[in-house]
Amino acid sequence: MHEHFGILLVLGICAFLGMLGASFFQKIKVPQVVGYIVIGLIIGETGLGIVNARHIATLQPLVYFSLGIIGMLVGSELQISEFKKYGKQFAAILFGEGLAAFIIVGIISGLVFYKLTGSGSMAVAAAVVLGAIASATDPASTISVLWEYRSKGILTTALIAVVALDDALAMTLYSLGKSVATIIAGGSASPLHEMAMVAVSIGGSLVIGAGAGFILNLLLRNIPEKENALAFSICTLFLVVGLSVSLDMDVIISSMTMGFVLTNLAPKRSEILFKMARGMSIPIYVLFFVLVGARLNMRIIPGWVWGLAVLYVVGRSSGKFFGTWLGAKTSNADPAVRKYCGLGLFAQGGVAIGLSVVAGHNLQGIQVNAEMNLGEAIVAIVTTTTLIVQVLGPPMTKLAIKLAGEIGRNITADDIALKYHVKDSMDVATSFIHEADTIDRVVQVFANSGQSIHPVINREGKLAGIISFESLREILPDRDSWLWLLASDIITQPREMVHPDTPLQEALHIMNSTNSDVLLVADDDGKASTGIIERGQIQSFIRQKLLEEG
Amino acid sequence: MDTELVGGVISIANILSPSRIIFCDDHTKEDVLRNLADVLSKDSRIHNPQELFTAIMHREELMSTGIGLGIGVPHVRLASVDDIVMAVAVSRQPISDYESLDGEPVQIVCMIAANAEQHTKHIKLLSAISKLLKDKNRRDKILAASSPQEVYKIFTG
Repeated sequence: MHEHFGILLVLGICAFLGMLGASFFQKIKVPQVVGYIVIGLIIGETGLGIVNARHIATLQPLVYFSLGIIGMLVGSELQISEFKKYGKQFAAILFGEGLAAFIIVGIISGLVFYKLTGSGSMAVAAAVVLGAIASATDPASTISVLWEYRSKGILTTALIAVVALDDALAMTLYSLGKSVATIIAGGSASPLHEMAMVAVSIGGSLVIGAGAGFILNLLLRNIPEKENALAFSICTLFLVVGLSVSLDMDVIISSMTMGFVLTNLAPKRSEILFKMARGMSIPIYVLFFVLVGARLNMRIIPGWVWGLAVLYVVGRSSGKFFGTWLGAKTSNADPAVRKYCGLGLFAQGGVAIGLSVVAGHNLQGIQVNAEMNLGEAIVAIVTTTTLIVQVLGPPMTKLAIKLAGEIGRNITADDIALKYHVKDSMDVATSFIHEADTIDRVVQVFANSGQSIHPVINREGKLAGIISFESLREILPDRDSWLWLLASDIITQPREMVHPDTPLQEALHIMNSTNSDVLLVADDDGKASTGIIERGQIQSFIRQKLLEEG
Repeated sequence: MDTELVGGVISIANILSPSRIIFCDDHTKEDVLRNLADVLSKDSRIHNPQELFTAIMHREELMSTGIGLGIGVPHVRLASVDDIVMAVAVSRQPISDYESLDGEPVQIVCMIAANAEQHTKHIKLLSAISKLLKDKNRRDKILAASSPQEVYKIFTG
């Protein structure tokens, strides 16, 4: 029956169940991305088969676009200033973790394959290819965790930089590994040619991304409307992804470069843009990670692969952890980076799977045993290990940022405006005017307070209205009247009132919609015992809280 | 009809009419105010006479509207009033219980009712009346007038 499910229905099932799964995992304090992947496993090739190989093949363009969105948003997090400050550290960590994982997994894989096949050349071929694939880290799930938990700090910055640049290192190591494997196994290959192809791929991706970033920046200067700017950016991303796929370039590197160029050329303009893109990309993430889980087919994995997979995961994780530690130590990185960065690099996903698929094609002529060739073995191993690390990796990333104290530090003005209420930011000691006060007294109150409006209360202590400086101005020239006109003669009714428990965001929204900079604050009884709140007060409070909590 | 300000100046001619000018010999402030409220209430711009009188008296409780020089300016702004409107009472005898700022007995009473939103016009009219009646000659002419038309001409002349 599932064979006949149309692609739209499959997408709907993936998205809906993905969100449900994520909600459940969020409740048990596990990163949402794990929920997406587990749902994918359940409805995909391993489980119910609702999403099958045909669907996955049809949805490949969506997967590419998802990688593009993720890459663009990853690039938007990379600031040139951070690279200038921490560039050496990032490079040391990147090479440390990548090479350590390569070496350790290579050694383990080589030993296991030698034990299985008795062939030294086969063992070396498997070792270099699996080692290279092991050096890749999944930017998508790592970044997803960092965003979900609003992390900010030196560790977060280091993680983003390392996972963003990891692809280039993994691709380089893979191309070397693939050449060596082919030569060792008796085939012909040119390492120089392979390296040149990688250089073209990486270089071409950078050119596409940078060019798109520059052009988009020029276009956005002439597009003031936020919605149109976002639409243009998404269309440009489509072009970048399409071009990268057509020319066999790396989608993540090209889209990441586009995001990097845009955020560094136009930081203020692009900040709003990327915020909007992040908001609209949630369904795309859900679909992407559900499909990651769906394509994993555990049923066809032989038993010995599971054993090797466990060793691979242990070896890779150890390499990531100790390689990071070594790189951080030698470059004098912050202690939080030295201690915890390795924990955040456990995830493996899109790039590793992509490289394993390529290896599956390139190395299919090399037989491991009667049933399986080297390419098939690598696909099976990487698929299995991806399952394990995609489930374990995000919680480890969360643990890393938690230990470093960076969870919840990425706070925006909107977060503060939602978190705090009118009563938190208003002046408690507001001078009240009584309806029977003469204008002479009202003028004194205004002069002493510096406020632009004052609430007026009646004999019962209830709100009678407000006096604004604007309304007071009408009678200022006629000083004679100050002695016989009263506050009640010049009060007006407030256009809007807010409750002390109203969130600041809502208060600002009311001010914007009524074109007012001041609101009266009254409790449920309509008493003016609480005073007024001004736009400037709210903005000043938000700035202060950003400095304290950000 | 919403009374316009012309050049920032309010026109009393549109707000007062001879039919809303009365001569009275009431002895108490409340009687004068009640009579004036009744006169005002005959105008189509007033929709709730009882509310008008209650509000006028409430304002008096806060502070007497006797502003000195024998002038009283009871006034309110109400949502039930369509547009600013005025009535005048001239008392031959001083109204004994109408307190004023300078202690001088009140004899000319200008009652003003405006819409709740007519804050500016309301203030400008009060100010205009105050300035108008500061002139002793004018006040004496009003007190000596023998008809509402005569009083109207003094206010609008």
